[in-house]
Amino acid sequence: MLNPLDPEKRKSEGSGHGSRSLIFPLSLSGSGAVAYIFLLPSLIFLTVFTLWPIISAIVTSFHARRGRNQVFVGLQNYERVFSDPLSQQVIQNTAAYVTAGLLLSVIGGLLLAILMNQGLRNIGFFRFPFLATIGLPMVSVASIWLFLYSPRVGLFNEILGSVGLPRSNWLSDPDLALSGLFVVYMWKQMGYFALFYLAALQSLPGDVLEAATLDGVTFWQKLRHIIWPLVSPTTYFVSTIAVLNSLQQVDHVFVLTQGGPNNASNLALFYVYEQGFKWFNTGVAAAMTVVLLAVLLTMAILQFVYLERRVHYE
Amino acid sequence: MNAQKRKWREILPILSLAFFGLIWLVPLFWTLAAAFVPTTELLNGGPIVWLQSLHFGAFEEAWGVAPFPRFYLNTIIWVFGLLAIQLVTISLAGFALARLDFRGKDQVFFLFLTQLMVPATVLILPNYQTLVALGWLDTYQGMMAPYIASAFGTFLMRQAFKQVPKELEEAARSDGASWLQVLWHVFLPVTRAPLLAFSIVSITYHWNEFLWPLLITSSVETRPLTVGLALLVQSSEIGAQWDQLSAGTLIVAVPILILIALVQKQFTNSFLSSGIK
Amino acid sequence: MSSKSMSFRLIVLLCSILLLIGGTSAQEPITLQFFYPVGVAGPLAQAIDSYVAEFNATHDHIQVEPIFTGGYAENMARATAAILSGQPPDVAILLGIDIYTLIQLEGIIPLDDYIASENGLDIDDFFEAFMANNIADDQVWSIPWQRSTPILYYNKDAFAEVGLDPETPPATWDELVEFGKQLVVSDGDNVTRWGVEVPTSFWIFANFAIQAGQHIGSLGDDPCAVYLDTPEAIEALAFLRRLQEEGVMPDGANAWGTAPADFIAGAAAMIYHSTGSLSTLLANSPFEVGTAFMPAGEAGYGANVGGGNYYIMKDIAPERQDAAWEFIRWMVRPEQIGQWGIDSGYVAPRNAAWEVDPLMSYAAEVPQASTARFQLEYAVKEFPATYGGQEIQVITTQAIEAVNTGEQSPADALAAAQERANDVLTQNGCELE
Repeated sequence: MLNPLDPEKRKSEGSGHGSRSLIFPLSLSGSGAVAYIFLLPSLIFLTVFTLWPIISAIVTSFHARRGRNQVFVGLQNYERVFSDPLSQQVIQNTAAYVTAGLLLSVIGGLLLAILMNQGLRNIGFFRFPFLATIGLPMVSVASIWLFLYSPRVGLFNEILGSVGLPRSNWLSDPDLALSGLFVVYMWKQMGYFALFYLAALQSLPGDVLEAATLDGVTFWQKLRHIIWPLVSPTTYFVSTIAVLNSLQQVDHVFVLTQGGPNNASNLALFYVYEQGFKWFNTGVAAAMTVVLLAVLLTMAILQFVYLERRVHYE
Repeated sequence: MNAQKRKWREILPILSLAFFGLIWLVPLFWTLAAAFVPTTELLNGGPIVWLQSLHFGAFEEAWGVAPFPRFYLNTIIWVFGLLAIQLVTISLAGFALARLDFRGKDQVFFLFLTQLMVPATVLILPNYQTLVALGWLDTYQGMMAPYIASAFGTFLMRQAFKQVPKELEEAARSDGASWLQVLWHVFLPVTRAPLLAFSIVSITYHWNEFLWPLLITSSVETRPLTVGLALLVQSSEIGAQWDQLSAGTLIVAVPILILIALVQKQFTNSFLSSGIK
Repeated sequence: MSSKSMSFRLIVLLCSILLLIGGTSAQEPITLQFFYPVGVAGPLAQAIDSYVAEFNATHDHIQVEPIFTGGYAENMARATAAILSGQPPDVAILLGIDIYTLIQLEGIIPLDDYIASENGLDIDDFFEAFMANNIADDQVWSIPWQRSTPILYYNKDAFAEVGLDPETPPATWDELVEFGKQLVVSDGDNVTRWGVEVPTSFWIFANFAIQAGQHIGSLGDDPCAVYLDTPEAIEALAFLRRLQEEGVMPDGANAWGTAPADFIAGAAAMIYHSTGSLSTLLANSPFEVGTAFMPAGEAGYGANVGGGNYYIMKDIAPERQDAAWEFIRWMVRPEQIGQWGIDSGYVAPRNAAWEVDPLMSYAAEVPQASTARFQLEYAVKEFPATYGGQEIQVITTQAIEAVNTGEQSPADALAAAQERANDVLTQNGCELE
């Protein structure tokens, strides 16, 4: 599993430490020097291109731009992020979007993976559509969906109209716009999450699933009592990636709705983009970035503490 | 009867997969249609008309808006060049985090974790200033720089290296091999799958990257395919031109789609054996 | 493109060799960085690159390097980042409304001395409405280039079909409603053709406010003035809502990009859209396309303008600024900017361009192309030429969206928008009463 904070791995790391130093009369500092030489290229670029911008964002978040200069404004930008009705709405939208993303990535990803995990030959042919969408540029994908959603000439309403169902104004209806963005995002990313589950399913012992099938257990029972518990480490991983992924994609918002109508589909990263990139309210953008980052890191740390404790109880 | 029931159990998932697959492909079919059918007919005619009047006008126009052959070359240089560097950095860093003890490991960990959490979009403007200071605007190294350290890849490799049996490492070490030799001769040969999985994720991500290269490149010699695409998605004045946009999408995406189709088996398998589970 | 630039490099090389042989001291050509955005998909970048190539071929001492920078948003972001990093481009096409932001950034220089100089420019030849956004502190800061204004497009075949005269488009708001009603075609509950489609955008809304008698932006040189909650603006927005309530216009927000597609598909008989859309609509509509002034409100005709101008950057050597001026002057020659109007669909921004070929012949051939030019008589300064203008645009569009989706009344939505706009102005250093 990818997660760096995976408690089991950390446990084995800890115990490995003692035994290794017994076997190898290698001084800790020697190993440490090697480690830092190995890490050096990554650390240099992480410091210059990730850490430094974050530090400068923290500094910027206490300033406002006046022409070429920055003036210190204390907590004003943070006040705006927390009290402005617009950012309230952005936070609500983002929470709904991320939660839906989390649920559908897990449930849809798992179900799709189960479908993909058939032991037949040439199954690859059927997997292709779900992998292909991962490889397309989001800007193109969104532009194409813009047409599909188009209220009068778009494909969806043509189809609905031809079978006598009511048409919708997908992206221009405040009740539908956010869902419209979400569908595009899931269409593109579902295959990605399914791949992780597929990997997990294939690493399960075959006879577990096979036996359950023969016993005449229904599919839902099998899913609930056998598969779900067995893939729980993957679920944990997919959840993490799903949350990060849904927060970090912005191109489709830009192309499809620009956060509208009337901010109904405005998301956190689009807010940051608009404030920082289009309006040069660099201070507000930086404050929102810092808040977003703080939330994510807190979540990661809480997760770590929680799992650490659970491991101790076990 | 039981046999029949079992047969259904095998066929039903395939049928549903095929059904969903077809639905999934609808936007792609539409892209093809839009690229090769005149806009007038696309907007006025049904699907039958579409097939009657294939034309390549939009494709030719789209191909003409930018020096695409050169942009293909640039994209290949930047995407694969970056990948080559990343494979080195993530192997080394992943190995250090998986197999070596050192002071400050938690802090280093935290630094990598931070990169995983920061959306690349918010780094664009500060990193632009850094590139100016380094004199790296409009260069390949400038395009690559923010991605040379990869938390995703490092964690992936760290996890894979952890699964390599300790005995292999110990045997090599007791033969007097250096850590670098251990990494090269013992670890990398058994971790090809995660390297491939990472490669494909990295290639698809950077091949399609839009804003960053658009902002920091200027010349025909460095600009990637997506800059050509940027010329075709502009809609601020008159709305999207579906035909050219679709043609442009195909120009950019077809190599990646072919790659995915060709290596999809290995791709899937690499995920299977990469230790992501 | 690359082979062309290659051959120009060869020419430059040859010229310098010849100069060396001739014993004259070879002058190193000045290489200018030129940022330009594109607002229309397709071959516009090729057009600009080819003009620049011609300029380079005819100017030994100046070489211009054209850099496509994306849409207007990416273009401005890059220009700002470049200005702040101390390495600006030399010359750039940026939005007219960004003038105050650019002055605040100390990124640009005024051009009056150049205009008045021996190698000057007849600035009075440019349409007044297109110059309005270029002047601040009684100085001219930019020269018009890719300029547009909205007009009314209508489907002549549909007019004939319902018994309207295809040569008589609606001239007033009331006629717009009346004609619109006649043009609507329904299939049960489903409307298959709407009378008119007005995109939900600040840029279109501004025209209605002008027609009602009070522009939502300042007409003079005031970077702190926005008039969103005036009775005229409220009336204009109420009229947009009325179009929906009377069943003439589709309900909900109408996306900018949807209108041209609906028009081509026959799903909207009239649309308000940019002049820039003219060539696309002419080329793709399977019916005859008419163009007209936007119908008049109580205060008569009225139009808002938009688009990008040439600016010269501040933190560069004076000889580079001189060279940039020479480049701009060459690009806006009547024949050149007329050609650009034909290639792009933008309104050639000076009178002289319309009086020489190629634009003169083109305008005779395609009469629709002149509608925007004559409507300019009623056009005023683009909204919102203020500090924080980009943000105020979005705030205004959101107010219209709130009304068009039925969430808020025009008065409430505009009052809220005015308050938010005032906040933005205050944040940017304006002192409001």
